[in-house]
Amino acid sequence: MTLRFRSERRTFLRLLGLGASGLMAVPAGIFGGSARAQGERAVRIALLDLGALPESRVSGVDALVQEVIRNSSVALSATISRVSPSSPSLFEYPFVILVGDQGFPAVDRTVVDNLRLFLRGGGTLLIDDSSGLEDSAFDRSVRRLVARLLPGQRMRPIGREHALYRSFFILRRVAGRLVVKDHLSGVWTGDITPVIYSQNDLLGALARTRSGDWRFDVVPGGTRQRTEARKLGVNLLLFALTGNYKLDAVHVDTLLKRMRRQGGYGR
Amino acid sequence: MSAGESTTELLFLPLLSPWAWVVLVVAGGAAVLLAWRSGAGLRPQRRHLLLGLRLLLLFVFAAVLTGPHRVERREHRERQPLVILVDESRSMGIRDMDGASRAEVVTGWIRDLREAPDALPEGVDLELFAFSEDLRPLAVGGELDASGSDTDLSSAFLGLREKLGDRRPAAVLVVSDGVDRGALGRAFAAEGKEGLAPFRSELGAPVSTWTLGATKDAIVDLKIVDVHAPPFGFVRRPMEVEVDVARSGLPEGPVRVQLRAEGQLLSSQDAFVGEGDSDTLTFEVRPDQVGFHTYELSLPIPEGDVIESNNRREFTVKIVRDRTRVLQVSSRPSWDVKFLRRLLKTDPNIDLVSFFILRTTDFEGELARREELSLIAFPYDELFSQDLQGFDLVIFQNFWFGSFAGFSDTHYLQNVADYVREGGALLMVGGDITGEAGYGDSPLASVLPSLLPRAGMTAGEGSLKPTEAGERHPITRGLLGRAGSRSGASPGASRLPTLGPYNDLGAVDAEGVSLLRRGDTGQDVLAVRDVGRGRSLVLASESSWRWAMGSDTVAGTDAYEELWRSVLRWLVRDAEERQVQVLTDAENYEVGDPLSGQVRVLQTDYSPLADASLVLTARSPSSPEVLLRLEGTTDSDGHFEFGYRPSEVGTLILEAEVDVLAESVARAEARVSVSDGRGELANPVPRPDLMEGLAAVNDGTAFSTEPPNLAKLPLKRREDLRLSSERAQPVWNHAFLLLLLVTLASVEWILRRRFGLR
Repeated sequence: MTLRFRSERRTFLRLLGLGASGLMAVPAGIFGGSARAQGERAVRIALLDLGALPESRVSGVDALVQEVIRNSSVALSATISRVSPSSPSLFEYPFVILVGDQGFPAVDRTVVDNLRLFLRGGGTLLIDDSSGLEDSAFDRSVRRLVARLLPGQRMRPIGREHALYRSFFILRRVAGRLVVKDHLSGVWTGDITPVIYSQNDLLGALARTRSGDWRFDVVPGGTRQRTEARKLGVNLLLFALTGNYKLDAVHVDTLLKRMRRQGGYGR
Repeated sequence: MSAGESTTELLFLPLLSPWAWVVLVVAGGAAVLLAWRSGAGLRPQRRHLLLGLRLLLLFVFAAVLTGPHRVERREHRERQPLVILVDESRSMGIRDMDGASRAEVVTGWIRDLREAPDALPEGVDLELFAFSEDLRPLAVGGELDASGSDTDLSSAFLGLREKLGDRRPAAVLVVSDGVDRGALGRAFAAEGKEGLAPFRSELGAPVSTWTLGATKDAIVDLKIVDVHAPPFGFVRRPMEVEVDVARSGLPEGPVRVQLRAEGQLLSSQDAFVGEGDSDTLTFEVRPDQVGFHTYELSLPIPEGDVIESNNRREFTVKIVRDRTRVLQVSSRPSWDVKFLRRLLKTDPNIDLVSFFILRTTDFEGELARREELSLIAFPYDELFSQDLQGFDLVIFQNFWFGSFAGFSDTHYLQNVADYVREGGALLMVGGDITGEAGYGDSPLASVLPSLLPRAGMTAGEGSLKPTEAGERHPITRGLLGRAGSRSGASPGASRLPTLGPYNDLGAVDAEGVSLLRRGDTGQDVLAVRDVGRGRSLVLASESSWRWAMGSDTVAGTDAYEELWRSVLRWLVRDAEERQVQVLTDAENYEVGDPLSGQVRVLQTDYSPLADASLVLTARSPSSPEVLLRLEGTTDSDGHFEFGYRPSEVGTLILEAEVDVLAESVARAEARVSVSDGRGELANPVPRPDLMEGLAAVNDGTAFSTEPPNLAKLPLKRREDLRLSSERAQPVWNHAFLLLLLVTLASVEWILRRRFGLR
């Protein structure tokens, strides 16, 4: 390997260390400068407004955004919009979050069509049930809505092999403010999972007060469970941005070896 | 001609049909019966006399009706031909007889025969025939052009029998090098001299042979024995070509073998081949474009080389695109990255390698230890130093080396620039990091269509406007057509989908072409460039993903896919876009092999175009002479089938032109190479053993060094006579017979009167 450095030897050693441990990072200062400071960030997310949005969880979305900004290279806008499912603005936000603790009435046909177009066009819908109940009114409303959005596609548990469990952190458990279900659920179209459903009040685990304290206690796992919930939040957004990238990455070595074997190897 | 002998015969040619003879016999019997009964009252002597006269009359009459002819035949003893069959195939042109070709030696010998007629045996006439694929009479003293493609002795004997008819030669002399590739040669190769038994000539004359040419060791020849090239190759993938080199009659030493394409030297290697041995060299070529690539392998021509034509060989390889290999790198995930990756992943013809930089180093460390991160080392050195040439397309999507590594990226950017010049494709998609990278000051500037100054993004959205080039360019014309069709306006006049925020592309290079501009500011948004053998494209925005989501009502949900697929096709020079295609069943043929081909014609929507008139021509790249011209129309599948049998060594361009299509898409061509690797010159070493076997099985004599003395050839003289004339004169109409009939009838009538009968 031939490298020509303009920075100091320490940078080189850090790169080697990151490479050896399977990491690659963006040095501080490169993203933290003007590019990020220019206001209009490329990645925006929104809350899907079905009329029963618990305000206590909005701060959880803010916290999620901050976790992503702090930990990843994603230029995520800190402004969280609220978007109506019947609005054309829905298509400006490929990642929308539906959070609630109460049931909501059946949406009209226009909403269904719009949301279906959104999901099939590449959008991701994260649903978070903050009621803390396994069979809540919100849960029943969600399942009724999803059945109409993607007819014939059943909501089912997301297995541990799914890319979202390694889209940024390696996750071994699913958590939120509570652990109502030990798994996430989802709906697939092909090998894409456009709908992801958490019943563990994920945003409740991330929500903070104005003073920066945690808004809710996390039970039964306490701090450790909250940390897992924060990591899950980051993973969900990174998954929405990168899809199966991490699973494919496993195959990159194989692909490169095949290229070399077939001769696509520069000599 | 010798003195004749005559014979005379009587021949009967009946004047009546068989039915008339039946009637005549019945009538004759009745006449005899009447004659006998009418003389019932006469004395027996008289009665018997009249009956005898009647019978004699009838006999003479019947004899006349049998049509007697007198036939006179004259016969003679004819002079027999002494036939000399001279090989005029290409191997006879080899100059291995003290500087003269085999054909020239034969020509001189025949000329000497003309000047010394006494050299012939007594009583025979000399008849000469030249043979290769066909047999033709050869005048005594005529020239041999040694241009026939094959030596086929068995066919020559069959042809000779036809030419001679019922004449029988006294002897046949075959003059050849024995390089027989027909049935006789195959039988000899399989079973030796025993295999020649079925080839005993039916001419009934001894067949002697004279073998021309030097022995194998004395032939000076450096040659390409064979070339092993794949039937097709993949663009930008190495392709191996093996060449077998052999030599004889030359001192040992390295032989420089050169590989050229379009006259340009690609590679050269030394072959080390011993006397009478062969060596195989392997060349590697990396075609950078799809289509037909013709290569030439050549050897030097040493002094005394008896066959110069086998020192070079052309071959054609059809280069197609394998799965398109795409490297997508981005310094940060974004919706734009997600949607482009999603599109690329859904294309089964694309192998995608993506690398995204996911995290910063100002990691606060409270969430997890590093080992809990699912991050992958970015193999930048492997990708941009070792494996770069294996990709068809490299996508820098909001990417900058400096965003993740604090070292100079000049080396890698120079590699990418070289990669593009050598036939690769570079797609640069905008974003904040693209603006920060300052590629305009990097080695990449030399291959980008615009200067791309270091600058931030310009906020806001704006409608797009095609440039003049953009209205015609394959990347944008589909998009313009879509916009036009959706709004009902003419293409290009309608509103295009919006984009934004924008990067500053800077000034478009003199070799670059701008295709899209902002409608409000006029700033370039999309520019392309052909550079070296590669291509580059810059899109100054990272918001085209919005078209995929269907948020732009003008774009619709298909505009995104249409734009990017057009971009990919253009960047990697996809050949499948062509509306006219010429296909052949192979790319390399031997002289005389049948070539089968097909012209496929598609409409602009790529459905088959039936009943399209077209003209197909074949010509050499080095000559305007048209070797083949066919006119026809396509069938219901848009196909036109054709066949051809190339007769010349070299490369052929098969070009189809379809009348009804626009000029820019109406033509297509294919290339094939024609060689003579399996022809007679592949192994022109004389085969005296075959010639000896042929003479032995036909009771002849084999000559191998000195010209044969014709006077001493084994002959088979014919003793039988040949008919020279035959005359048939009718006898039945002779006056004597008529007089005899009248006399007999008169005598009978008179006697009947005298005997008192009526």
